[in-house]
Amino acid sequence: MSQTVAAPPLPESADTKAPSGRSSTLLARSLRLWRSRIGVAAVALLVAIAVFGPLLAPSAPDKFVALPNSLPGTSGTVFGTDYLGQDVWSRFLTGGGEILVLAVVSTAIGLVLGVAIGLISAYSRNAWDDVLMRGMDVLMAFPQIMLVLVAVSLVGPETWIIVLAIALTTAPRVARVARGAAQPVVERDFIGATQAMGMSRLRILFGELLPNILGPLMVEASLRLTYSIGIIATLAFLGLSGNPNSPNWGTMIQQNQTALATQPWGALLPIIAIALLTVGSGLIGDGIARAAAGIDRERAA
Amino acid sequence: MTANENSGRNQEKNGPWSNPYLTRRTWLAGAGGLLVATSIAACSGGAPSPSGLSTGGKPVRGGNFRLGVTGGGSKDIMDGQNAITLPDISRRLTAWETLLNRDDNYQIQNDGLAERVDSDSPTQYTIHLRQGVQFHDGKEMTAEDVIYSLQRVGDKSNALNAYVMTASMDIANIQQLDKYTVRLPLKTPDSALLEKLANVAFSIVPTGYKPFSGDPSTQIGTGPYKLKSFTPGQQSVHERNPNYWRGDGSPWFDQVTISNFADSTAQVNALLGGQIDAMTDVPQAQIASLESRGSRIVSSQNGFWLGLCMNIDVAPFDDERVRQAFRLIVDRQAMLDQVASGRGKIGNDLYSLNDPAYNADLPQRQRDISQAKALLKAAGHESLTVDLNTTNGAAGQVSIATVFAQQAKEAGVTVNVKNLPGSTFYGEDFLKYPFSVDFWTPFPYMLQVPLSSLRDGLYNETHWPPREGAGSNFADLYSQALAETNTEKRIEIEGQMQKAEYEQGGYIIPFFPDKIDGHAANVQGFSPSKLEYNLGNFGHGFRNIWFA
Repeated sequence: MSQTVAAPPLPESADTKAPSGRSSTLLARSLRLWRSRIGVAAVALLVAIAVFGPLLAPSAPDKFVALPNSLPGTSGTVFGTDYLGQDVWSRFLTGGGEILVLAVVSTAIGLVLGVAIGLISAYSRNAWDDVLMRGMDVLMAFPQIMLVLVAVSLVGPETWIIVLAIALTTAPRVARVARGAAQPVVERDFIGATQAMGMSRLRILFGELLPNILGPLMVEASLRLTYSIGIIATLAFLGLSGNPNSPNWGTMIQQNQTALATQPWGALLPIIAIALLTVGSGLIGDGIARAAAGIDRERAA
Repeated sequence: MTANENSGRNQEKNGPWSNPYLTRRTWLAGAGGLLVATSIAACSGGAPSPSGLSTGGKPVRGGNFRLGVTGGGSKDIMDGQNAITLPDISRRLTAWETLLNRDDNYQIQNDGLAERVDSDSPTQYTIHLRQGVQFHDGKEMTAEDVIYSLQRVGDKSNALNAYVMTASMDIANIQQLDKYTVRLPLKTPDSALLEKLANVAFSIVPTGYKPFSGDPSTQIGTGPYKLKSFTPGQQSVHERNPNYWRGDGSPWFDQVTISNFADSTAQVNALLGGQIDAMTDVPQAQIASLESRGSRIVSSQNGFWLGLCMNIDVAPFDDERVRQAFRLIVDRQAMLDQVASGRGKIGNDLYSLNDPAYNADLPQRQRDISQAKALLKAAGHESLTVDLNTTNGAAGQVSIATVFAQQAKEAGVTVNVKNLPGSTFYGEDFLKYPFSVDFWTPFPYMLQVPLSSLRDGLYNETHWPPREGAGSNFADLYSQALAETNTEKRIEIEGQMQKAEYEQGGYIIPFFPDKIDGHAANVQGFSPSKLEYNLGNFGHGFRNIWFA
């Protein structure tokens, strides 16, 4: 019955074997849907760009190759140059890693925190439940982007505060979902049985409760990842990233937006990438949700 | 939040203009080259002719000229002798004029409200006014108004930007010799006096003038257009002055409308869509699209500059070898190409490009990485890491820092660019940064020095001059130049001053970007100009432009 604790699942782990039988069947089932396959393909492509892109970039991302906003083909550039005469293609290839790593790390921290709070709330069934959940409600009353902007304005555009702020604002939303999903499970007989067996509270929470809510959590994780990508790109677009010339996709859009009419590629490439990434992870989450709801069976059958 | 500051990357006059520190770039409108005191007197009056009529055809009357300007906001003001934002500067030029004028070559001409200004001695000047010049309300401009105008600037309680420039003037003892003649005594010799009188901050207002506080009819000047309505942060409408004194048919438009714009994208769209006839500061990336769709670009080498400011009081820049190394790191042509698409002129770490005293004899500094490395090694900084503070104030203010950081890598110097919000950058640490980027609207050399290159200057970013050693006699040289009435000798002293800054100073001035503005094809009269503000000081105060 009992299983080892699965690490908080992330969309890109979709193609790896998760230790939990439940989650792996859910993933496998969701992959029978076209929407999931498209999502996985899109995310895999962008992860590949983020990981291998820097190795393939024809020139250094901050190297001056031709006059600013030169069209594709000038001086051998594939997609022309950007606002400072740097190679758009090279910057695009090197610019994915930062956004992805930050998004994954901050979402992961937010998930761990949120799941812990949600499970404790659901399991305690006492005043702690109210205290924790009302606390989460207060945090959720503010739009996520606003809280993050406040934190970044107070401390400055440091990487750690961006990650921390996104993680802390992601947690309440995850906690809500985790608690909601765990509540009916807590009422079921086998939880009472584990209590009777004298199992430790920690083991009950993470060994028994958690595996039973992985489906909705995976959906939530993909949704949260989408939001985190959006927020990090937004911050970069607003110029709130550490280095003003970092080849970050969000920063690239901001830097090159004035040239949209004459040399669109500097802004267009990262826009396409961010759109694909968010749509891809959204599709994966949607696929899992449909698989969990049994919609996949009707379609696949 | 900081989004506002950042939105202004390509508009030098956006968000941060609300910051009081930035007003210094606007407050000396109409500054210019070193013109010989005596030569002004020598050039006798003669019939003033409109300068800048370079694009053929005879001017014709009529039409409503609509100008779009960025950089303003609810803090816009209207005062004949003061301005805070770029829209203020453009509006002031519709209605107010100076005693002396500058032409497109940045030379002082006596085609202003004074027929001539004579230097009687190093500490006494006599202003001979043009006769028959009428204010908008029909009253004749006389010596009384000139005295009122000078005293208004010199009254500290009025808090006008040019107050500091009146330090040399004996404001209390200005005398009226007759209805059209004013005697201006000085407390100390001031060879830059004529440059001040040619500056719009010293525009002539009628006796009893008060700034705008709701009633357009109080905004009286001698200029080509009369104020009809003004809503700060939005729009002003100016009517043709039918009694304008030049008698050459100007001004040509029936009406001028000046509208505030939040950003340059909206300006470009309005120009392309025909809602405005001219705009300020076209972003580099949009020049081509404007031109390809029939609009005209005016590109002016007006001497605007961006400087990397090294604070010579603090480590590592207190070591002149480090400053020298940093200057040798810069690939000026590449920087100009990257930051300004090559539109501009290479700099040599000196400011006041259009000043006749600009020292062009000093050898052009070239990139020399091995020499830079050797100097850094000798100074004990083989691997140096510095922060370079900047903000999205003027176009290129962040880019220049970014490019410098990239170029410095080759010399083993790590430069961390800190892009601060405007309110932080111009906050309490401003003028204390070891290393920062700032920008300046051009001033004549002798007006710029007291602002930024003397120890008691209001905006001394580099903490120049040094307290001891080479260059420490800089302030004495400045005083000598102020007292020197012989132009050649004065230019020679200024040359020495520039040499000291070139060798030991704290500024790196890699290039002078062109001022690039746009207008519709049917507007005639705009031409490249060395005047300090957009569109050749807005077509010399809107009087040299007309619709074809």
